[in-house]
Amino acid sequence: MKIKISKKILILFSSIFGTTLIALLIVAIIFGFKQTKVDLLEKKIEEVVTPTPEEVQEISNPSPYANDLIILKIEQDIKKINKELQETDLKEASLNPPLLDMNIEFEVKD
Amino acid sequence: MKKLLIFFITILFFFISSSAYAQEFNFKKAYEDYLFNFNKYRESHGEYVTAKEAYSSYKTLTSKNTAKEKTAKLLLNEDEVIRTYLTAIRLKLSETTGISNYEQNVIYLKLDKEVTLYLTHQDSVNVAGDLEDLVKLAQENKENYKATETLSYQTLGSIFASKEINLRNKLNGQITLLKDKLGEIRQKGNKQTAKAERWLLEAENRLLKSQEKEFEAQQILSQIKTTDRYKNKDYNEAQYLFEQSHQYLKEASSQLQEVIREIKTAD
Repeated sequence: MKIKISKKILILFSSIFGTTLIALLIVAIIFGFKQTKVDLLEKKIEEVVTPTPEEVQEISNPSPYANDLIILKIEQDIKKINKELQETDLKEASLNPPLLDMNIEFEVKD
Repeated sequence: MKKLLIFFITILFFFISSSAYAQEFNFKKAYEDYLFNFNKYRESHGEYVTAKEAYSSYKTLTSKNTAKEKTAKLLLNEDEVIRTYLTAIRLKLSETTGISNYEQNVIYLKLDKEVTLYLTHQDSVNVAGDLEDLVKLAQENKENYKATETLSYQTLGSIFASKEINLRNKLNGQITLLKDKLGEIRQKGNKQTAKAERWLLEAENRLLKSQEKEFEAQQILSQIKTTDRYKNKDYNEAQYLFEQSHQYLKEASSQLQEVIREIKTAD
């Protein structure tokens, strides 16, 4: 059994379908582009390194040793030790001896 | 040719696997092992309590057998918890660098001896004939654990002391460098050094005080007896002294920063 479809209906259907497809495609491209832009922007934001405010002590009247390499090296090393001092755990609570039930005994009830 | 290839592949395999094992077994792994065994111990303790209740109430042969089985399981897990705990603190100590090799080795020997004790105890549990034997073995562990606790606290003390000594050595190194530099500046005569030297002296004093507190803490820990009931009280006291020692190190570090600031500032 053959179904006859008129040429007009076929053209109308194809054009509606085609237009919808193109519209969806355009929306997808625009949305995708925006998304990429947002992603890139987010990545850029992530990439921006927040400057850590290092304790830079402004010395208004520097001595001849203000930029001495040995002094700068010692200063840097002391800062490292200071950081280590702050981070040192002198409790190690998780390493306390385990609490165990050492009273293993049996009393038979009468 | 083919045999040679197989030989090389085998050698390579053993080399990779042994080096991978050596790399992997560190404090972190040992601590995970300990936590895993502690969980197993807790589970078996629950089972033991239930079996004990059942046996106390019903007094049947079946309940006695179950009680025996659960007690043996508990004791084996208990030994394993202690063994893995001792291994974990041994590895923690090995990761610190402050105390001398000799002192470290003495503690290792003691810890290894304890580990062997619990391994032997596990063997005894495995061959125990009845529930009464297991109860006796449990009593044995109770006594053993008193000594283990003492050794554990002393090992933890050595870990803290090691950390403190390491940091103090580092600060001492910087003091020596600063002293040399101040000597050089004094000779050149283009900058006053008296103030910086005073700060340096203060820092040295703080290091001395830190050392004193650390010795006090070690003293307390070394005096803990196996028979002491409240070992953790002494341990807490020692820990407090370690913290005080650490505070002095922090102060010394601040004073060294002052020395630097003083050197960098014109008169």
